[in-house]
Amino acid sequence: MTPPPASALRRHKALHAIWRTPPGLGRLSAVNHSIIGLRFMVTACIFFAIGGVLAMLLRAQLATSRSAFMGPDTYNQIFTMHGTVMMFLFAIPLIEGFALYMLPKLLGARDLAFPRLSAYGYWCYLFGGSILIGALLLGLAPDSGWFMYTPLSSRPFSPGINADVWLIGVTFVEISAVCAAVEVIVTILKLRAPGMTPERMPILAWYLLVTAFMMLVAFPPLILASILLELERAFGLPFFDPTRGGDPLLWQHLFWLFGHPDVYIIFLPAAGMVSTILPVFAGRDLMGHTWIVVSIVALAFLSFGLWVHHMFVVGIPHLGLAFFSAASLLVAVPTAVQVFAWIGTLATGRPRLELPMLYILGFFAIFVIGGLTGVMLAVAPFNWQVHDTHFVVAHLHYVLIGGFVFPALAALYHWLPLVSGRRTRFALGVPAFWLLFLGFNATFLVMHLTGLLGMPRRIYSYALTAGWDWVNLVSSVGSFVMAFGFALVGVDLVLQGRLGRRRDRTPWQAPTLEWATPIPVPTYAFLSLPSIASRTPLRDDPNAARTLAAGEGYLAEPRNGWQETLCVDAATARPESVVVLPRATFLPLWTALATAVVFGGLLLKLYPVALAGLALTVALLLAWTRTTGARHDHGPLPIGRGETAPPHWETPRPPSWWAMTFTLGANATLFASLTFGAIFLATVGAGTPPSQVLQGGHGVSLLACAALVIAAAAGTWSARPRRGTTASLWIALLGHAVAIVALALLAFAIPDPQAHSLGATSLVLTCYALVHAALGAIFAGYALRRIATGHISAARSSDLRIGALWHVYTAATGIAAIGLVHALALGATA
Amino acid sequence: MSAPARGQHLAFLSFGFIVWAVGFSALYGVHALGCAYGWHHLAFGPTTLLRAILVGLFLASLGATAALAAWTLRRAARDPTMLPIAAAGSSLAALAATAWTGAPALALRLCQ
Repeated sequence: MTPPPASALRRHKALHAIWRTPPGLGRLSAVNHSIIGLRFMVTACIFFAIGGVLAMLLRAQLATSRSAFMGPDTYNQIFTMHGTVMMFLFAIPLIEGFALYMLPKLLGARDLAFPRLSAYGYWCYLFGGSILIGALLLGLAPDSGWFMYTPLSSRPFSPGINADVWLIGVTFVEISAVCAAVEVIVTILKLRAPGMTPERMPILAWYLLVTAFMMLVAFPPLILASILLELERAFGLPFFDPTRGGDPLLWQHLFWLFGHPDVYIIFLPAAGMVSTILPVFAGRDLMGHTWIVVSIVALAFLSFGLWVHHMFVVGIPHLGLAFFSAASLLVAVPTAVQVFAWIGTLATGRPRLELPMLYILGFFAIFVIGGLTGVMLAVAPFNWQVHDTHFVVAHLHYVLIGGFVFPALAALYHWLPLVSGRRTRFALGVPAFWLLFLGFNATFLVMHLTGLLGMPRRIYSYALTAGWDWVNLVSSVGSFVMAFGFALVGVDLVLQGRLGRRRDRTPWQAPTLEWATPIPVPTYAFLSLPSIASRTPLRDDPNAARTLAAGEGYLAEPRNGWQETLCVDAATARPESVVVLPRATFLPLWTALATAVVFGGLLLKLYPVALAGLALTVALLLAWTRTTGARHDHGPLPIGRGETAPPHWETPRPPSWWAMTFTLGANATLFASLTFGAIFLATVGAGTPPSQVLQGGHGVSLLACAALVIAAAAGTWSARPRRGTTASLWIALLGHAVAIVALALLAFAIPDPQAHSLGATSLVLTCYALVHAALGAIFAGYALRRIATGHISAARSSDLRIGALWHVYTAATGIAAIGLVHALALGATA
Repeated sequence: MSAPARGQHLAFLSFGFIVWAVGFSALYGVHALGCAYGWHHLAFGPTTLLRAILVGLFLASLGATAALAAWTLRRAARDPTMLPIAAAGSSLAALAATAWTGAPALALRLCQ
């Protein structure tokens, strides 16, 4: 064991040696949250600049009637890519990066729960985004609009590779969103500082926790929709083709099941920034903390009940519209609770008008207008009038730029010293704000009028007689003023990083824990971990930064070269275990490259290459486990302050167990969306009846169900190491193997899945079960391998418990999928 | 407060809205199915089968959220700290949301 260093400086050197990322090409092996978080944010800003340039091109085209700046084909690609880049490559990844960067510092941890997962997510994001931007440069960018409605995006109307680029590139990027969601949830629930109970959690952590849960539920419907559309485009399986039993509205349902919550996924973290920054500059605690938590939860749920308000003109009966209109109006209430809490905090405090506050005031003005036009759009008759006009474009920009970009800029100036280690000067920030604020309103306030005058979205040209010239010209001039504002913020950042005066403590007298780290923040964040007694730890102990840096907290003594942080009970925040985190490694990069081979193979229709990439990805993911766990029991380890805790692999529910639970939650959402789609197509969306229906297949179905049940029972029984564990894992492995064969036979029994949506959905349901059984076999095989290598003991059984979760999930969804296949066939023949 | 009790309060923060989400989805789903299969043409006492099912679903989800709100309010009265109060507030908000979003089922025309 490494002898403990005596002084703080020696501890710092020892910790830095353990936590550092190698220089040169070794930087590509980084897994540290600060580095990955910053990479996410910088990359997102680069994509934002690209999206911004595309917006300026659009505004140049629309500035005057009958403009000859670009033709319709180019215009279609540019407006599609502007929306796609801003939503998928800028907004969500910026939030992910912010969460990854901030959370350990806010929570009093040294890193996130799964640093390699964050790094893998980053590379997936970068590669997926690069596919989209590369296609744009080659003139092959998607051109069906950022929500890719079918049948416009279906093969007959988009025969080129353009739509495939969107489906595959965006799905690739979404991997990073799901990874980040799992990472954020487990980190917030389990990696907080001792004593930081949910009541004492900073408000920003509440916002990020709820947002991450929303991401876990919102993204799977879109992932499923993208898979189904790609299957239709590549293999002719008709999910959205009404001539073969499909329905284009299924795409709209699945897309907006993601799309509307996505607005709140973008807004909530920004509101969290406001709720954190505003009290600092108001000089008092946030008013109504408890009610803000309630309103966040309410907002999260209600936002999933609004998706149909994007579909008010598709012919849904009025009662259906009324349900969603009511929900759309209602969502304004929890939003207003937060706005009033912020106003109350300002009104009862002693506000200081520093630059972050200026951006927050800009947010108030813009976001409230965006919220009010949202209430207008929630009313169906008004919605019908302005549907697909520039009024909607103006509304969504008020919500997204006002509700996200302005708070993000406030956050940038507020937290910049953590990154730069310098005092922030506001010489350029103030004129940049005014350029942005005035430019934004010149662009979009007048755009409401453009919409009310009847100008539709997504037209590349308009007649002089339409009377839309002056409003469009004002918007275009405003957009260029706004672009200058963003450019000035960029210049300001460079100057801040080079010319600002160095400082090492909080410039704002903020009471939250991130300011207890040394500035700029070292790789390990805290030299020793704090114990928390309230929501304002730095107000309780203004010297916390110094005492922690002096090693007076938890885990002050480095040992074994381990990267350590503490895992706590989610409810009581009592120390539960010492989490030993993985060090810098190239594995996430290699794995993401292998995943890129899968997506590249699918895009170029090189399916053997895609399969080889998939095998390589699975093999590399298994290689991640070579450095996890231990071959002998360590028992309780001293963690400082006279307390002990075991390493995480010696607890029944380590962070990875929770990660599997939440991943299966996301997976269950995907399965529920698939079930919804199958039932929708068989009932409400039913068009042409199928000419052939599955006949028989009962024998193989029963065999598959029995095999899955046996695999689940054996896998569950083996979760606690005892005599017979190895044998029961072999039974689980065999059960999955039999299920694979039976499900494959069932898949072949489904009559011509290209002929009708009934066969197509039945095939996808069967394949879903088959893929899960195959992964179940891998889990069982992996557990056997871990037993053989000595990684399993009575204390070290988490690998078995995690596998058991998968086996049970596979059996439950597999049986449900098989049952649904037969029910659909029965329904079609009835 | 014990660890399980704290964990329950954390979970109860979302239970009210989970019940709302189930009720809301059921209302929308059954309404769509009912219109597709013509249940609004089938008489059921003084009303139609579809209306009866929708009103039944609405009242059931209203009852469930009301019961949950009452229970969480009692717990908050016994332990007036942040999480129990937030759980009660969330349940009450879910009750109001259920009443507001489900009420159209009582009166609006069904399948036009």
